[in-house]
Amino acid sequence: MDFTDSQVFTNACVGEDSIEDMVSFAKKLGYVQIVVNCNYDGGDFREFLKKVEEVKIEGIDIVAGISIDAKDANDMKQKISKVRDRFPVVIVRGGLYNVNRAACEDARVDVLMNPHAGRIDNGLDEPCLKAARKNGVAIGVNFRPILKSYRKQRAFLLQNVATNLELCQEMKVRVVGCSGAQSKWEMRDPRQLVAISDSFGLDLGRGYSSLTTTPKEIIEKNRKIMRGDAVRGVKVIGD
Amino acid sequence: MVDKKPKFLSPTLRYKKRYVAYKAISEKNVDFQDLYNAIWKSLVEYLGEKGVSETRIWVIKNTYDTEKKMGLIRCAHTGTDNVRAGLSFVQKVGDIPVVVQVVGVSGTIKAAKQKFFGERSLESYT
Repeated sequence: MDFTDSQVFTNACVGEDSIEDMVSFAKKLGYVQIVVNCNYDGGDFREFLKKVEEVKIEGIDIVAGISIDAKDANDMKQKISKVRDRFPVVIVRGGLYNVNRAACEDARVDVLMNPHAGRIDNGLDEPCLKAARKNGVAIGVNFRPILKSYRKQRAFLLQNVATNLELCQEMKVRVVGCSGAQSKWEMRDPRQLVAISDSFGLDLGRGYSSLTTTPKEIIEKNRKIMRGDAVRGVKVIGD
Repeated sequence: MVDKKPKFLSPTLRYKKRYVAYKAISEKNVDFQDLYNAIWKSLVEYLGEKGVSETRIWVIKNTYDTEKKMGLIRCAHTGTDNVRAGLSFVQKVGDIPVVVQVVGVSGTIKAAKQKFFGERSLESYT
């Protein structure tokens, strides 16, 4: 199966290992596509994009992505409009309810990552999920916070992840799983990530598609738009 | 007085076993006892004592191949995904960062060794 890791960080951003190291380790684990992310810092990202483009390893597709932290909905929208045309994958980090809601309502967002981050509740409600389904926004589950937390904190985190996965399944919202690794030792076998989502109530099929078809579709769609073969918000319904 | 062992259960009364083959990926060699402890720790942390008992997990010591850094874990046939998930929480063995990758699942030790450890049966030489 063609597995994709939708969010990893390298030493081009906050990570520890080089892009080459991360990509070759991902290949070893069985990934065929990897999204190398950088955090939004207001720069022009030319250097980062150049670094990602320079790396070429046979048998694995390397994609540049960006992760956005936003204070509120307006801040998020401004940041997205600056980077949307440059990156095939735009990820918004959730946490604040207003940001979660705005991300779900914005079709330019590809993935809303960890809507439960830093919260007691799961961070999503019915209007959010309906909007996410309508706008094609996927809900992301990052493995790193789960790996790095322990005991009570991990239990609460897993509880919120389970609630979100259950809601996404119920409301037919797309789910994207990723390792969120900042070093190669934080990456995991894709089948193990599927097993984790399976143990929290997500169907095995949906678990697989969260690491295979969903990220692939997102990347292909955005690459088409960036090449000029398609237009955002327009859908061909007949010849 | 010598204590007697209970008789073997018939195959239909025994629980169905699966053998999960794992591989430790690390830059340095890891001591098996440390790996064993790390695997048990992460499984008990993730599944809980009740979960581990329900999954009937047993890390088999004498199947560990130190050269290939591969070994087998026995579990109930319903618990393979739990074992996979639990193994992904192993981060370090001693001070060495380690990723424990599940190579595959098999029904018998013999088949697991042939499939994943590259062991050959006598028949294959003929």
